[in-house]
Amino acid sequence: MASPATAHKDFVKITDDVISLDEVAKLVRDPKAGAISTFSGTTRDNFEDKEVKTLAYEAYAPMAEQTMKQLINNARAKWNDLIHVAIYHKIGDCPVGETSVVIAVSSGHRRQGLEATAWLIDELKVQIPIWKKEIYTNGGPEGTDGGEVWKANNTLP
Amino acid sequence: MTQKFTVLYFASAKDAAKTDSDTFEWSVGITSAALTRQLLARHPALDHVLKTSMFAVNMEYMDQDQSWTVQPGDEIAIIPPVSGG
Repeated sequence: MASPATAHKDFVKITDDVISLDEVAKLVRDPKAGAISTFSGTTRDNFEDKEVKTLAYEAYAPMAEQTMKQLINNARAKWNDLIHVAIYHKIGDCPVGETSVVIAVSSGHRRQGLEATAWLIDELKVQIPIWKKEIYTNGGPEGTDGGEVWKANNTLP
Repeated sequence: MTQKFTVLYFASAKDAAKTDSDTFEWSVGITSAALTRQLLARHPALDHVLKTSMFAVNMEYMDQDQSWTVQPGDEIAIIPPVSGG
Protein backbone atom coordinates (compact mmCIF):
# COMPACT_ATOMS: atom_id res chain seq x y z
CA MET A 1 0.00 0.00 0.00
CA ALA A 2 1.29 3.46 -0.84
CA SER A 3 2.35 5.75 1.97
CA PRO A 4 0.04 8.67 2.82
CA ALA A 5 0.74 12.01 1.19
CA THR A 6 3.39 14.02 3.00
CA ALA A 7 3.18 17.72 3.79
CA HIS A 8 5.26 19.87 1.47
CA LYS A 9 8.40 21.13 3.15
CA ASP A 10 10.64 24.09 2.35
CA PHE A 11 14.25 24.37 3.48
CA VAL A 12 16.11 27.66 3.09
CA LYS A 13 19.46 28.49 4.61
CA ILE A 14 22.20 31.08 4.44
CA THR A 15 25.25 29.40 5.95
CA ASP A 16 28.94 29.87 6.66
CA ASP A 17 29.45 26.12 6.36
CA VAL A 18 30.56 24.19 3.30
CA ILE A 19 27.47 23.10 1.36
CA SER A 20 27.07 19.46 0.37
CA LEU A 21 24.97 18.75 -2.71
CA ASP A 22 24.20 15.26 -1.35
CA GLU A 23 23.00 16.54 2.00
CA VAL A 24 20.72 19.18 0.48
CA ALA A 25 19.33 16.63 -1.99
CA LYS A 26 18.61 14.23 0.90
CA LEU A 27 16.43 16.89 2.55
CA VAL A 28 13.90 16.70 -0.27
CA ARG A 29 13.66 12.91 -0.54
CA ASP A 30 10.10 11.62 -0.41
CA PRO A 31 8.39 8.31 -1.15
CA LYS A 32 6.03 10.16 -3.54
CA ALA A 33 8.91 11.65 -5.54
CA GLY A 34 9.81 10.26 -8.91
CA ALA A 35 12.56 12.81 -9.37
CA ILE A 36 14.97 14.97 -7.42
CA SER A 37 16.25 17.83 -9.58
CA THR A 38 19.29 19.76 -8.38
CA PHE A 39 21.37 22.76 -9.32
CA SER A 40 24.82 23.33 -7.86
CA GLY A 41 26.61 26.62 -8.43
CA THR A 42 30.40 26.73 -8.09
CA THR A 43 32.80 29.63 -8.06
CA ARG A 44 34.79 30.34 -11.23
CA ASP A 45 38.49 31.21 -11.31
CA ASN A 46 38.36 33.98 -13.89
CA PHE A 47 36.63 37.15 -14.94
CA GLU A 48 37.59 38.47 -18.36
CA ASP A 49 41.42 38.30 -18.28
CA LYS A 50 41.69 38.45 -14.51
CA GLU A 51 42.56 35.51 -12.34
CA VAL A 52 40.33 35.23 -9.29
CA LYS A 53 42.29 34.35 -6.16
CA THR A 54 39.30 33.91 -3.90
CA LEU A 55 35.69 34.97 -3.50
CA ALA A 56 33.55 36.04 -0.61
CA TYR A 57 29.78 36.27 -0.28
CA GLU A 58 27.80 38.54 1.98
CA ALA A 59 24.05 38.40 2.61
CA TYR A 60 21.26 40.26 4.29
CA ALA A 61 20.52 36.88 5.78
CA PRO A 62 17.01 37.30 7.28
CA MET A 63 15.72 38.99 4.11
CA ALA A 64 17.54 36.49 1.89
CA GLU A 65 15.88 33.55 3.65
CA GLN A 66 12.48 35.25 3.64
CA THR A 67 12.78 36.06 -0.07
CA MET A 68 13.85 32.48 -0.81
CA LYS A 69 10.65 31.27 0.88
CA GLN A 70 8.61 33.68 -1.23
CA LEU A 71 10.32 32.35 -4.37
CA ILE A 72 9.45 28.80 -3.37
CA ASN A 73 5.81 29.81 -2.81
CA ASN A 74 5.77 31.38 -6.28
CA ALA A 75 7.30 28.23 -7.76
CA ARG A 76 4.63 26.09 -6.09
CA ALA A 77 1.96 28.33 -7.64
CA LYS A 78 3.50 27.77 -11.10
CA TRP A 79 4.23 24.04 -10.79
CA ASN A 80 1.77 21.90 -8.81
CA ASP A 81 3.85 18.71 -8.90
CA LEU A 82 6.59 19.96 -6.52
CA ILE A 83 6.95 18.10 -3.23
CA HIS A 84 9.85 19.48 -1.17
CA VAL A 85 12.17 22.35 -2.09
CA ALA A 86 15.55 23.29 -0.60
CA ILE A 87 17.72 26.35 -1.31
CA TYR A 88 21.09 26.70 0.45
CA HIS A 89 23.54 29.54 -0.18
CA LYS A 90 27.01 29.91 1.29
CA ILE A 91 28.34 33.18 2.67
CA GLY A 92 31.83 34.16 3.78
CA ASP A 93 34.94 32.94 2.00
CA CYS A 94 34.27 30.61 -0.89
CA PRO A 95 37.50 29.43 -2.55
CA VAL A 96 37.51 28.86 -6.31
CA GLY A 97 35.74 25.64 -7.25
CA GLU A 98 33.68 25.41 -4.09
CA THR A 99 29.91 25.16 -4.06
CA SER A 100 28.23 28.51 -3.44
CA VAL A 101 24.59 27.55 -3.92
CA VAL A 102 22.50 24.38 -4.10
CA ILE A 103 18.86 24.04 -5.10
CA ALA A 104 17.06 20.70 -4.77
CA VAL A 105 13.47 20.02 -5.79
CA SER A 106 11.58 16.77 -5.44
CA SER A 107 8.57 16.23 -7.65
CA GLY A 108 6.20 13.47 -8.66
CA HIS A 109 7.60 13.50 -12.20
CA ARG A 110 10.80 15.01 -13.60
CA ARG A 111 9.54 17.74 -15.94
CA GLN A 112 8.13 20.20 -13.41
CA GLY A 113 11.05 19.68 -11.04
CA LEU A 114 13.59 20.46 -13.76
CA GLU A 115 11.69 23.56 -14.88
CA ALA A 116 11.22 24.81 -11.31
CA THR A 117 14.92 24.31 -10.52
CA ALA A 118 15.98 26.38 -13.52
CA TRP A 119 13.45 29.09 -12.67
CA LEU A 120 14.52 29.20 -9.01
CA ILE A 121 18.21 29.79 -9.76
CA ASP A 122 17.34 32.47 -12.34
CA GLU A 123 15.10 34.29 -9.85
CA LEU A 124 17.58 33.84 -6.99
CA LYS A 125 20.26 35.63 -8.98
CA VAL A 126 17.97 38.63 -9.52
CA GLN A 127 16.04 38.93 -6.27
CA ILE A 128 17.94 37.54 -3.30
CA PRO A 129 20.03 40.07 -1.33
CA ILE A 130 23.37 38.31 -1.59
CA TRP A 131 26.58 39.87 -2.89
CA LYS A 132 29.75 38.33 -4.31
CA LYS A 133 33.16 39.92 -4.04
CA GLU A 134 35.93 38.72 -6.34
CA ILE A 135 39.51 39.18 -5.16
CA TYR A 136 42.01 39.09 -8.04
CA THR A 137 45.61 37.94 -8.16
CA ASN A 138 46.48 40.09 -11.18
CA GLY A 139 45.18 42.83 -13.40
CA GLY A 140 45.90 45.67 -11.00
CA PRO A 141 48.56 48.36 -11.42
CA GLU A 142 52.10 47.12 -12.18
CA GLY A 143 53.53 45.02 -9.40
CA THR A 144 50.34 44.95 -7.34
CA ASP A 145 47.49 42.59 -6.71
CA GLY A 146 44.40 43.05 -8.80
CA GLY A 147 42.23 44.41 -6.03
CA GLU A 148 38.67 43.34 -5.41
CA VAL A 149 35.28 44.04 -6.94
CA TRP A 150 31.68 43.61 -5.82
CA LYS A 151 29.96 41.86 -8.70
CA ALA A 152 26.49 42.54 -10.10
CA ASN A 153 24.28 39.97 -11.80
CA ASN A 154 22.33 40.93 -14.89
CA THR A 155 18.98 42.27 -13.84
CA LEU A 156 17.12 39.97 -16.22
CA PRO A 157 17.49 36.24 -15.80
CA MET B 1 7.20 63.09 17.54
CA THR B 2 10.28 61.65 15.94
CA GLN B 3 10.82 57.97 15.37
CA LYS B 4 14.12 56.18 15.17
CA PHE B 5 14.83 53.76 12.40
CA THR B 6 17.84 51.68 11.50
CA VAL B 7 19.62 51.75 8.16
CA LEU B 8 21.69 48.72 7.12
CA TYR B 9 24.47 48.90 4.52
CA PHE B 10 25.68 45.93 2.52
CA ALA B 11 28.50 45.21 0.06
CA SER B 12 29.54 48.34 -1.85
CA ALA B 13 27.23 50.50 0.31
CA LYS B 14 28.99 49.25 3.43
CA ASP B 15 32.39 50.02 1.90
CA ALA B 16 31.29 53.55 0.94
CA ALA B 17 29.62 54.35 4.27
CA LYS B 18 32.45 52.66 6.20
CA THR B 19 29.87 51.19 8.56
CA ASP B 20 27.26 48.46 8.41
CA SER B 21 24.47 50.33 10.18
CA ASP B 22 23.23 53.74 11.31
CA THR B 23 20.31 55.17 13.23
CA PHE B 24 18.24 58.01 11.78
CA GLU B 25 15.32 60.00 13.12
CA TRP B 26 12.33 61.15 11.12
CA SER B 27 9.03 62.62 12.15
CA VAL B 28 6.57 61.86 9.37
CA GLY B 29 6.20 59.62 6.37
CA ILE B 30 9.43 59.44 4.43
CA THR B 31 9.94 58.99 0.70
CA SER B 32 12.86 57.25 -0.90
CA ALA B 33 13.99 60.65 -2.27
CA ALA B 34 13.99 62.17 1.23
CA LEU B 35 15.82 59.17 2.61
CA THR B 36 18.42 59.49 -0.14
CA ARG B 37 19.02 63.12 0.88
CA GLN B 38 19.47 62.13 4.53
CA LEU B 39 21.87 59.35 3.61
CA LEU B 40 23.97 61.60 1.38
CA ALA B 41 24.12 64.30 4.05
CA ARG B 42 25.72 61.80 6.40
CA HIS B 43 27.72 59.77 3.85
CA PRO B 44 28.56 61.76 0.68
CA ALA B 45 30.55 58.74 -0.55
CA LEU B 46 27.27 56.85 -1.03
CA ASP B 47 26.37 59.02 -4.03
CA HIS B 48 27.57 56.56 -6.66
CA VAL B 49 26.20 53.47 -4.88
CA LEU B 50 22.71 54.90 -4.29
CA LYS B 51 22.22 55.53 -8.01
CA THR B 52 22.03 51.78 -8.60
CA SER B 53 20.68 50.56 -5.25
CA MET B 54 17.22 49.62 -4.06
CA PHE B 55 15.74 50.14 -0.61
CA ALA B 56 14.14 47.41 1.45
CA VAL B 57 11.85 48.29 4.34
CA ASN B 58 11.49 45.60 6.95
CA MET B 59 12.87 43.08 4.44
CA GLU B 60 10.52 43.98 1.56
CA TYR B 61 11.76 45.76 -1.56
CA MET B 62 10.28 49.23 -1.85
CA ASP B 63 9.08 50.66 -5.14
CA GLN B 64 10.72 53.81 -6.42
CA ASP B 65 9.05 56.91 -5.00
CA GLN B 66 7.08 54.87 -2.49
CA SER B 67 6.63 56.56 0.87
CA TRP B 68 5.99 54.97 4.22
CA THR B 69 5.28 56.04 7.77
CA VAL B 70 8.22 55.28 9.98
CA GLN B 71 7.41 52.92 12.83
CA PRO B 72 9.70 52.62 15.84
CA GLY B 73 12.42 50.14 15.08
CA ASP B 74 11.83 50.06 11.33
CA GLU B 75 14.75 48.51 9.46
CA ILE B 76 15.72 49.98 6.13
CA ALA B 77 18.40 48.33 4.03
CA ILE B 78 20.44 49.69 1.14
CA ILE B 79 20.52 46.91 -1.45
CA PRO B 80 23.19 47.41 -4.14
CA PRO B 81 22.87 45.29 -7.31
CA VAL B 82 22.81 41.68 -6.10
CA SER B 83 25.23 38.97 -7.19
CA GLY B 84 24.24 35.74 -5.50
CA GLY B 85 24.37 32.36 -7.16
